[in-house]
Amino acid sequence: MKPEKMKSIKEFADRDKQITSLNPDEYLKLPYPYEDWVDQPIKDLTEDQKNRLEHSLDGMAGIPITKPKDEKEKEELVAKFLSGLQKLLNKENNWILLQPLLLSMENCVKCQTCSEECPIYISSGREEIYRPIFKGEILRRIVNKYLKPGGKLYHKFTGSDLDLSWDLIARLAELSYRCTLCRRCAQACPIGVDNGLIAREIRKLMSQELGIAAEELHNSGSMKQLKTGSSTGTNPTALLDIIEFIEEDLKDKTGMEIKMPLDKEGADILLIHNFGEFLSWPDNIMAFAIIFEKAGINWTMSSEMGGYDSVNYGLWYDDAQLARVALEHIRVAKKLGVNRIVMGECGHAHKALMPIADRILVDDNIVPRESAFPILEEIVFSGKIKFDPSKNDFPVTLHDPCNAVRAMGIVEPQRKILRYLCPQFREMEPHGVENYCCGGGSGFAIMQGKNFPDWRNSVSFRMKFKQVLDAFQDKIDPSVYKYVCSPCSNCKGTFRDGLTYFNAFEKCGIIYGGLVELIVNAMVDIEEPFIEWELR
Amino acid sequence: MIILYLFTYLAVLLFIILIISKIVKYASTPVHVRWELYPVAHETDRNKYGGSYYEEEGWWKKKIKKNHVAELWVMFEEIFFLKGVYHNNKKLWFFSFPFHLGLYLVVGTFFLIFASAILDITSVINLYNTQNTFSNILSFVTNICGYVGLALTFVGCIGLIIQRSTDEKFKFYNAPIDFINLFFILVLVISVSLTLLFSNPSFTLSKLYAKNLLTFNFATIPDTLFIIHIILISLFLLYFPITRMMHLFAKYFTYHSVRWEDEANVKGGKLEKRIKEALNFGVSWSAPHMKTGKTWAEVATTFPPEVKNET
Repeated sequence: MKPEKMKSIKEFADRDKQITSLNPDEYLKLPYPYEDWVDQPIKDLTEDQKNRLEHSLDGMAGIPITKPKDEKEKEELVAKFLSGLQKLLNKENNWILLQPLLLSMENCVKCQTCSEECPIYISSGREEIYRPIFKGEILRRIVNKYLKPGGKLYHKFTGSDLDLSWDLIARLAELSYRCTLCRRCAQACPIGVDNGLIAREIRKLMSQELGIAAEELHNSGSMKQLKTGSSTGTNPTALLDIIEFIEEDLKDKTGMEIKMPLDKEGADILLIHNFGEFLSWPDNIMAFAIIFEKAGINWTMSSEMGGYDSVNYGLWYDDAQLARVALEHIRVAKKLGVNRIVMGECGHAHKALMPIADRILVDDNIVPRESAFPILEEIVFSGKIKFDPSKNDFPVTLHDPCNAVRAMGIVEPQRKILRYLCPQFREMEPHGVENYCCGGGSGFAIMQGKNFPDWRNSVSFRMKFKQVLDAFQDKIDPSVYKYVCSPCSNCKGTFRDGLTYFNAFEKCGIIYGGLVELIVNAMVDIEEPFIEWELR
Repeated sequence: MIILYLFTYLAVLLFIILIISKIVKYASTPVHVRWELYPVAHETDRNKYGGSYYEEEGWWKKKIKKNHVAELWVMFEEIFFLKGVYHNNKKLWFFSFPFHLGLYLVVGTFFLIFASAILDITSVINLYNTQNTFSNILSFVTNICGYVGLALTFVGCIGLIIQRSTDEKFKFYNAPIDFINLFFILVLVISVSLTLLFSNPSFTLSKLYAKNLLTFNFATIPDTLFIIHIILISLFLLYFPITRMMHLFAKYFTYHSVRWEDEANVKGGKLEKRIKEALNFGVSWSAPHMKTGKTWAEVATTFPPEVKNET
């Protein structure tokens, strides 16, 4: 049974039971042929999980957080949280984002302009706790009450009357993982308040002070990357096997014999992929190699730890991990003596190493970093490779990864390529810098624990799926194969799981893939179709 | 009467100090990582669709151009027309726009009143000479600005109070202070309107009071209503800087220092120097992987102990 709706924010702190649960009947309605689609309710946690894990926000254990053993441990965690909150607002500990955080914490006028911009809030059927300002308002009220001067009367006036408890902190921690950090809300805010940033900073407080972070981002993510070289756990020896396999596969698929350049000193470009491509979408690795070789680019990849996985999950939850991984990428580039690092098709890796790490790097660590998209544009229009756009004569739409587009302004290069090579290219609405997140941003794409994937597929991915269906409405019949170009590994992971959940290939003939696969598919030299029409 | 004058001086002084201290607080924060959002207004040509210099191959070899006129234009549209609110939240804009425009006009009127007082003190005009054309024009502009400003603020303020108290999405988040801000402004509008109606036509008393303030002439103001109004304004000046109404000033930073801040870090540049300073700040975060007691530079260049154990 759905818990009773909260009547005030104070209940978020006071209620001793679960705050809410989602009702699939209230989810955002989808267009044809999904008008009658019935979403299954999000699975309940098992009794054992319920006993062990915090789940009093919305019945899910996304991070997940182990319940404290006793009251003493709860008190210690509350004290740690307050100590972390002070550090979050202190220049030594949080110079990295202090100014944007202060501006967002102190100037929200609660005009609610952001609400209608949030795909999760809308898709969930306007669930109050998912409203963009909700988490910020909770944090603001805690700061006002516990860290700022003023007596009871002042706190009453400012609404800062939340009583801090472990339950409140656990709910807030989970809530910070119900936002994809897509920052559409910030883009719409007339003042410039950034609720996505507040979510990110809550995650940071939890990680850097309480040691609480999503398992897939920290222990099985950035820590594993620092230990083994990749967040997938693939070490340099295993990498060489995988590359050999990809080279063989490339030969079978295209007849081309390409030796992937590895650790080539003095190359112009060090290309770094999200390692997910090697394991889940090797066609993307092949396609890059084909294009770069055909265009005569002097490039290399690295087989050294720190140099072959562009993933940097710290971007989403932890400044120290962000900096450590970024510096590893730089170390490898310097060792090889390349002119520049080029980011493959991965949005968050773009943002982490290009604009964000820009304010971490000094002296000879300032190695030029570029996106692959303008380079691909340059190659496609250079005449070095012959194309036959009729080979891509099927409906194609483009998903804009938030980190590369809204947060970095790389909008047109990929579009110019698609307009040229894909006769049936059509935009989603909205698109470009106003795009909707795929629903897997901020780590959701890789968070597979407990019942979180149910929520991601049915709620978080929902707005993006609606956009895809709308874009293909004129050719929605499954006999017409359609391609969602998603030039980002994490977004692709979300599409894989989401399209599977909605059975979209069988019902509508929709698959997803990267940008380079479309480029290679249109190459005159490639005789067999490079794109395989199956959802995988 | 001297207490009224002293209270006004004190209110103005504290108002200025509090505003400057808030601005200094934001301006003196250390360098932060880039957190821009596109469109960035100063991107030449690319600002139309939200593009950036990252769209160019070899961007780091080229000079990055900035279109500051475009930046000013976007700020103008934002400040005077609340374009963002119009685009994203029309229902709110219908009251928020007149409210803000009204306040700008009221602030403009305030400056015109002081301008009139200064011109009178310097004998350029005479506040009481209705034959002087320049004086009449200035008075006319002041009246139009003031009356229209008050009317718009009143309408906007009433509308925002109604919206905030009836719309569920506002009600859930309302705190008393959200209404106090609006009611305070409403009371000010009503109090000045009453003085205009009964004792202060064409802001004559206001100009006289401004002149007295500027010349340290603590002459008696023979009107209780006007005295109450002055006390209210002085209280508002003290109240304003401690409220969220300071977003007026914060907005400069949210746009220029965050949303549009896209300066690239180059070796030997000023920015690099500021980054080096920040990297030397001490860290006291206490999670096991954080290395309390080290500087940020040290934290970033050493792996957590768990990693070392396995490598």
